[in-house]
Amino acid sequence: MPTALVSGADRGLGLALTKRLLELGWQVIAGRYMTDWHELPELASQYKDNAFVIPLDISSDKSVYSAAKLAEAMTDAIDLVIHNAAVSTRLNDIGITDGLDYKDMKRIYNVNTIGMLRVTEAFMNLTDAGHMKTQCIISSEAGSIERCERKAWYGYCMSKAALNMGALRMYEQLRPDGYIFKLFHPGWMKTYMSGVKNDAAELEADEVAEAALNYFMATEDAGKPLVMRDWQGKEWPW
Amino acid sequence: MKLNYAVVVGDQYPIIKTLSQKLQNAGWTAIEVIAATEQTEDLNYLDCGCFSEGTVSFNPWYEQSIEEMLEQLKTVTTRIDMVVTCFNYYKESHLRGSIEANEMMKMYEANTLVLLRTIEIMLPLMVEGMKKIVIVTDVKARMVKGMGNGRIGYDMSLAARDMSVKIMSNALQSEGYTFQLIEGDLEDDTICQQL
Repeated sequence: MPTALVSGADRGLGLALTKRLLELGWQVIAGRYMTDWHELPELASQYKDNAFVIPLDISSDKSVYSAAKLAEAMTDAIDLVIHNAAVSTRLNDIGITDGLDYKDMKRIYNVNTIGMLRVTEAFMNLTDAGHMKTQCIISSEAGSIERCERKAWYGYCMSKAALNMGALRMYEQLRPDGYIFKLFHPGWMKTYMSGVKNDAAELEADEVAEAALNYFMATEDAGKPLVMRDWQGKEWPW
Repeated sequence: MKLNYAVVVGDQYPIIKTLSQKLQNAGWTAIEVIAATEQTEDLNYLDCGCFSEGTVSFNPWYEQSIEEMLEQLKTVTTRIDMVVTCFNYYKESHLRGSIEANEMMKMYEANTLVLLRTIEIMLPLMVEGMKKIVIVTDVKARMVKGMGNGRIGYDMSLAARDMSVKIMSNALQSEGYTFQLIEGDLEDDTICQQL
């Protein structure tokens, strides 16, 4: 049975990905950040043999390495990692002449960018032993420098541009070891990125999870340079 | 003859000095400014020898330090035509053992946030000037593949910086600001011809 690790599995896209993987018969190690949110434990209780919930705060070295130790007690290998955990901010609309909040920018970078590196490093013993060696990174169109038309959103866009660069450098470094990387822009979803559920958005998390997993499992990009694709399969420029 | 005022700001004094001299040779009045925080001040500038008289240093995270720096600038000019930034703190970082979150954050702060903060601070003095903002950068950190191991944290910080420049440009170009990324051999006099 293949095993996946999903960060930020509490709700939204992370929960939908976890649910879909469990439906497909995967064993899932689901990283839980929000101890007061009920959906993930409820889902896990329906898949007692295959779902393992572990505390995982990707902004913390200590939490990530503790999570990796817990995972090592549960499985010998991880085939697929989905780097889904991310944060946004209510300060996105602050522009360069409005007084930027640099502390908030550091917080976002620590989660959205460095968090992916922490998880990759900490779980590498397990992913090295996996058969698929697939690292899937949930990015965003907000990280596309070429297409950027925003006049604010500094912290979030910078974190995602850096995330894309980090994915590219990891791909170059780990590809000789058999690793595959998938970089994914999920579109505008009805999720909780701003803290409350965004019902005005276009896409349901379940439909995006389906498209994401189809992309993550596909082999059509094998051997080709890394690109970012969206939920419709379209390529995005760096 | 109207003088054109350029502020050359960065975290490495020798680079600031080199650029400043080249700008002066090209007819600019150049003011040297060092920006360093508690996080970054150990990196470069303190051990780089004596500053020229008139070189200004400040910590962009402290209002008093900013005020003092701006006061010192105003003793030379109340109008800045061009800000030339040069922040390139590099620390090797490898997967499989040498990824340190603190170093990742330090590169982000040194190469991205301090630059953004510096431009934010300088903008009010640029309103009456030529509104040129120049970022001396490292094009090897672009989204091209195979530039070598050990660059992941540095390249991520420069990708974030490129994004910040794009957003600033989107926001300010309607007010006449121009942003220019330049790269080159600082010993080569032609670097100023790019400006």
